[in-house]
Amino acid sequence: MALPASFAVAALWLSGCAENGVMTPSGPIAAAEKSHMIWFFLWMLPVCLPILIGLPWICIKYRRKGGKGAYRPNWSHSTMAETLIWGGSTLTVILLGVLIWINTIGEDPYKHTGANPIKVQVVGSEWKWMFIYPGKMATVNKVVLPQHTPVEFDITAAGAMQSFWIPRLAGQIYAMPGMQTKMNMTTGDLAKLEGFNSQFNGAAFPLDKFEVDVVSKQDYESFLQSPRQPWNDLLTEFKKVATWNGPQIFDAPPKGWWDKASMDPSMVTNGGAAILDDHDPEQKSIDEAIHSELHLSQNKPQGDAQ
Amino acid sequence: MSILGSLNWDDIFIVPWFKEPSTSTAIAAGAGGIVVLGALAVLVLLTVKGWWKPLYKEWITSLDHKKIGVIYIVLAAIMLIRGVLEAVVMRAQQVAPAPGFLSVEHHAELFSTHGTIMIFFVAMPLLIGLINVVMPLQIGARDMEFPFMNAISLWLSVGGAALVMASLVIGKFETGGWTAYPPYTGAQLSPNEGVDYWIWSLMLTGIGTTLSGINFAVTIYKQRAPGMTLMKMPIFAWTTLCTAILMIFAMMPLAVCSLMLALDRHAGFHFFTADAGGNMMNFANLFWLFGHPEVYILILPAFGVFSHVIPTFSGKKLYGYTSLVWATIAIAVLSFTVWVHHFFTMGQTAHLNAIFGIATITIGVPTGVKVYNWMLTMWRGKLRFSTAMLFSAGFMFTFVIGGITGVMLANPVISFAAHNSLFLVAHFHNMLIPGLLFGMFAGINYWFPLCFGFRLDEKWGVRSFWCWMIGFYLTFMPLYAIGLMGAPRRMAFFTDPAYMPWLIISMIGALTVLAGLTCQVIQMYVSVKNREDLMVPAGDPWDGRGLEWSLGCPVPEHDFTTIPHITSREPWVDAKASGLRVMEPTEFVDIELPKNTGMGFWVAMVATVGAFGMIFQMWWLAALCWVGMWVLVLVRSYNTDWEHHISAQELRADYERHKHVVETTPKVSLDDEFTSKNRGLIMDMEEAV
Repeated sequence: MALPASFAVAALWLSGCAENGVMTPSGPIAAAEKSHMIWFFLWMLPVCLPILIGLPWICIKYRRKGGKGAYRPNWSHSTMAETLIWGGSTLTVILLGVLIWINTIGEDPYKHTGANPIKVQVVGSEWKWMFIYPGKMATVNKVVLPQHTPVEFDITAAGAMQSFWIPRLAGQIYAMPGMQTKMNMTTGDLAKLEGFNSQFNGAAFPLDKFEVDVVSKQDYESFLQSPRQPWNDLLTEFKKVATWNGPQIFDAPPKGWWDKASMDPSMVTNGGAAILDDHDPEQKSIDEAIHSELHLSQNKPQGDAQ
Repeated sequence: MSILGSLNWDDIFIVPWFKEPSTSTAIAAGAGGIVVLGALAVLVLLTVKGWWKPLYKEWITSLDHKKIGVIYIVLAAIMLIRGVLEAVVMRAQQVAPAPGFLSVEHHAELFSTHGTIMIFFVAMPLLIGLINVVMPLQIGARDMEFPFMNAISLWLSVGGAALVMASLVIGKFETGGWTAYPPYTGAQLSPNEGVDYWIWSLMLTGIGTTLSGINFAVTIYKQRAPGMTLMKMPIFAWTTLCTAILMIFAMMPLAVCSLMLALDRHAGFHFFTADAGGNMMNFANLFWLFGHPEVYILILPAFGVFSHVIPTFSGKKLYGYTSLVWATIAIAVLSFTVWVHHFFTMGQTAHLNAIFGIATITIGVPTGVKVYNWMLTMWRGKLRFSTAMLFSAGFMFTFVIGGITGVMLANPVISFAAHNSLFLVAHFHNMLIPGLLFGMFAGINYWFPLCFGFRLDEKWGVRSFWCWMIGFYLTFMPLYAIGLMGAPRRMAFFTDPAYMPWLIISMIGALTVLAGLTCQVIQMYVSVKNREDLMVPAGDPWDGRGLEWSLGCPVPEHDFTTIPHITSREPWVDAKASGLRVMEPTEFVDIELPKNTGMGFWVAMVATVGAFGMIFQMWWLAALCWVGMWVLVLVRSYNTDWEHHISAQELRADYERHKHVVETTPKVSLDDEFTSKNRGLIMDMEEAV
């Protein structure tokens, strides 16, 4: 009953799947993740299908009323069955263990995915993301990348722990105050993607996301030349507001600023509470931001930007 | 600082609704109102019916392991109702037009209490309760090794649960999920009392669980009937032993990390803050050093239940006893070696991740072996699909699917792509609903007569099974799908219209689960109402295989009139095969049983009030209760008159009474197992011929 239903659900899902997930990858790392998922699922079938098929069969054949099976009330051991069970599952685990080792080393997020990756420094805060192209510019809630190019994100956070995730490019990694983590990936074809924080961090968690534009190399170069606001405006405003709806492009911070900020979150945040009373004025402004975001997303034209 | 600490008017449940009327505050006020009215209704009922005295004399003060077990299960049932209702509200929130009817904060309180309640106040009391009832009966013991400590464990757990309930009425609960990672849960980002509720309710129940673990392990080591070597113990006793050892070692890191968090919050420490050298990664490490063994604390007892229900209702010996024992031990040992898989995404090296990934799938070997062993137990049996058996079969089928996704998530690269998503949420519900709840439901349906003397109604039991089973698939299969479509967990609302059909299916599933729970409430009501028809005084309603079925139902306070001498794994089966229907008595001797005492209850209640003082920073109250608690323990320790005596003659008379009941009970065939003809003396007539 459940098995055909699951397959029907899977078929339905695969046919209608064009969303923000790893199953519609836009870059090679996400594509590798998708392929590992499918392979791991398939490799589990030899040990699991005998149960999923055998169990209903046993339930029917050996039912007390009307079942046709033999009855051996004292049978409780078979060396052959033991060997098959322990051996079969051990072999599967050895095989999958080797795959885990190869996959994990191969798709290590700390490993460059190509020569000379573009470096982007990231600061996650409540509830907005700052991106720094060192020496070039800084952006908020928006990162622009050239297509088919390796990228290395250096990631830290101020305030709560967050999880930096652009599902269609690569998996996630935690962004933590006082810590630096890395995520390497290679971009794919032109695309408008979404990145977000997946670790719950308070009142405006649903708004804690950013745009990822994968553009042509010329567009990327001209993006780096685009007009910008002063860095100090960014820093003052970033510390102050909960959610961001101002300009997105700024001057780059002084050299080494990100490293210092990763060790001292107070450079990025004034440290307010992440959970507020319903009648707190800041909660009101978050509620308004949520409503205007919803209004925007309902007016946004639907469709996949693949 | 005021005498009431940080407590103020805004903390009372209806005040925020008056100040700021909205659907979200109205729901919060309503939930608090339900708790208050529910408590009032119970008080009125107890008074009107005159039940205060029997409640106190026979239940609250009891040190009988069976009664303590029953109270644990009642606690779990109450909390399960709250947990399921919260789940339904969360599902409804996500199908409502965004941003839904709950504030982000209120939704966060819901998923945090849902997780905390389901793990600590549903799953744990269920399994500890079931172990309390059954394990001593299976190993031929008259009680736990430390009956008074057992009562303290129980009432500390009740106190912890009471604090979680109190958070609906006074103040707020924590919002960082059941894992409560800092720095989000630090004083700066979460200044209200929510995190303190989490810390202190877990502290109470955590101490209770550690004491339970010690009690179970020592009972198994010291109290087995003569001749019952470890390899002759029933599998449920084996899984209890492994669970108990896990409890003893795993609850410590939780206590340590939550105390460190409390020090961070109120004493200016910096264990987990980024200032002054703190590091939140240590919390994740400590938490999961507890959290992963905890998963196996939850699942192993259910594995024990299946190892008894399946052979009984297959009319067949358990396949692969030795395999199952070693698989249990392997799982218990390996459970301490995999905790890093809860945070593959924290930036450690690929080699470390790979090693923990491989350790994780290694647990799949003994677990897979177990499922095959149960399947081979059913093979060539004669299967009777009672409620307990249906839950067991439903478990096997569903658990395997969760196993597949679990092995997928054990690959760190896949974890990067599915962590913090609804795929993960679907996975752990896929393990715990069959692997824990179905096991406990099977166990309760199976062993219920031991406590109360009557069976549970089968018709409503079967209905509850189908609702739970179908409800589970409808709820969580869609979450797998949208998890892979990039839906993060703990999201108050989704704006992507593609998720909506899946969320609606999931909502229908949650309602189906609620229907299953309703069936169980009806099942209980109908069974109590028809208890005369369901009575099984002869004590063996399912043609059972364990010693617990040789004692008569309900089992007397002293459990065994004489302690049997064990020579095989299934002494009761052997006795029945030789034509006996009552175990041959060994030697009648005078015994001592612990007297009832309310001291365990009062110690724990004082501790609970002290914890409440800690939560609202009423330090004077906390200090007073701390001292008071130890004074009570001391008073109890100097009490030398704590046992009552049962003479050998009384035991002999009791044995004769039971023998008489069995001899005058009509034998029935398995065909009549689920009818009122079943008075607890049942056999396979074809076999007998």
